[in-house]
Amino acid sequence: MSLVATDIGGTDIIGVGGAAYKHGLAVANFEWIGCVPAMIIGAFFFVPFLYRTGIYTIPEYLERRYNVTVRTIMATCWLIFMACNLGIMLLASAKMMQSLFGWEMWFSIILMATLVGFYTSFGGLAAVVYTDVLQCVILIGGCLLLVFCGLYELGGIENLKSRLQARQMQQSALNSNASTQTPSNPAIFPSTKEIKSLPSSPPTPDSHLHLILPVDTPTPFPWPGILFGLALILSPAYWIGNQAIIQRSLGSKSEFEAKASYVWGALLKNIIPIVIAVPGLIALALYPDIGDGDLAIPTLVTRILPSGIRGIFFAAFLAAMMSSVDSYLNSASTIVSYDFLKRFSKTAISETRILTLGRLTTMACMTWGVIFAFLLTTLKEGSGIYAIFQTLMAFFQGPALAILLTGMMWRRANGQAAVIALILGISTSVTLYALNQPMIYSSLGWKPLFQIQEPFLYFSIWAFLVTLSTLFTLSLIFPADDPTKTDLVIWNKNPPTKPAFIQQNQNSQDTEK
Amino acid sequence: MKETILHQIGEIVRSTLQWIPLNVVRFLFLGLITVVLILVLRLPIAETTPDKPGKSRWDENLKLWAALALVLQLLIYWFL
Repeated sequence: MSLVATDIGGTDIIGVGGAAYKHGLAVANFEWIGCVPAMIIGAFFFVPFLYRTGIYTIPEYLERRYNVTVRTIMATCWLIFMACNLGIMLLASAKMMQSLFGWEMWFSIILMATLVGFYTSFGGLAAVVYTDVLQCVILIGGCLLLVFCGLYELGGIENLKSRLQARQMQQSALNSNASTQTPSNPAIFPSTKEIKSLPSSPPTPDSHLHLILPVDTPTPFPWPGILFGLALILSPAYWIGNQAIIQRSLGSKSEFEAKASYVWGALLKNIIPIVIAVPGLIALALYPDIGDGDLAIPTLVTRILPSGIRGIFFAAFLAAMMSSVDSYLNSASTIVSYDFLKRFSKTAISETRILTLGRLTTMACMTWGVIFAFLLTTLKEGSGIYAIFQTLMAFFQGPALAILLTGMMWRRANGQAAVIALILGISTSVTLYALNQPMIYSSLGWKPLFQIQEPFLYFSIWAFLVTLSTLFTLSLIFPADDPTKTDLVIWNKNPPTKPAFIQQNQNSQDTEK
Repeated sequence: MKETILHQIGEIVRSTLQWIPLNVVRFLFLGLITVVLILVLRLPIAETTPDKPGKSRWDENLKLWAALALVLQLLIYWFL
């Protein structure tokens, strides 16, 4: 439950609901094929291996398998991602509070940041895991309540379907009219307008209820992106390589418990889209003119839930938000402590100093999160928060998975090659993102590189392929690493445990305690 | 509007993938889940049960719950 609670936060309740409102049920792919197979594979093949190696963080494994440069690059990427993701979570909570209580965005962002920052700084991982379980129960209960009340308001599932079909027909008629007209001011948002004017298959009346969408769908979820970008790259990268997730599992008492946490999480994932994506569809059927998709769930909560039940839902939302924010803060502290402080300190470091640094990291991340949330509020035609979150992940998850998987599965993979491949891969996704920005491609006189909105899934595919091919080629050119590194592959049933310098550092700290 | 080599590569990939019917695509999704299911079912029992003395209870076998999660996925991708 702690795993699922870490994964599902306010970003998902607001963001997935918002994406379902805008693009339909296809967003549920992120919780289904984008989670379940990778969690099961992770449970039986990768988690036991990582558990046996005795590592604390994924970057630590990368140092033992490759070198300290790979570790530091990945730790930095994760820190940046976690801090930015905190901003997205704070923004999601601000949108909810604005809709429910009419509070100002800035006030909600700062209030939430203060509350969660305080509670994580003084609670540590134990507080995070124990509260996660309770928060997960409240979250699922609260969201189910919204689904039941919404369906009651609509008069049942059949009415939901028929309203969505009618809405889809209306939308496709409007789109076909719009594509025959000249845009009044093509310079403002050329990307969206050019995308709309591209030929695309007409949506079927019930395409809002389909998981598999054609290549030229106007949504960010075409099937090649979902199958290759999500199911085969982003999802394994998230469930095998995400520190905030893997930390839950590696903190288990036994290897069996580590595996069980993933398997039970996967089982629970099957119902998550029902509680977080279906409310978005209900909002579309009831209130089709909301405009900003991210306001779909807050609007639904405000308009259909009675005031007492609204309070319960708000508690569920807060629970989800706190669960994810505190997990990310905790993981950020772990990365700073283990991957920077302990790794680069020449003398033994006391637990008190590590604890102090952890609290400072929490404060620094929270401060950046607040700044990033404010920056996001200034975007005029912003992407939905879920797309922003996925785009951030797509920048480095493809390259991260390529070096992690190759390192775990191929003895010949080499440290020097991994550094170059990782840098090239991250540069590829960032360059593709930049070249797809209207301001940049217009100034170059280019057409947009991608024909769908928010092509984050495609960034991850190309970045993964560039990293993989570079790593493969350069590993064959550079000399092989020594056996202490190359023995850290999944096929080795008895991988070497911690090397002497890490063991020594930890032993001296244990003695001090 | 200029077209570069990147646009041409993208267009080749796009038109190739567009040629695959959605029904076949559905089987690709189902196939992926089925492969994972087969891998899980073939796992030795020692890797899916707790490492403790004595015989484990039937519900302690993780293979069962993993298979259930994947079968639910197969049903979801078959119908939606």
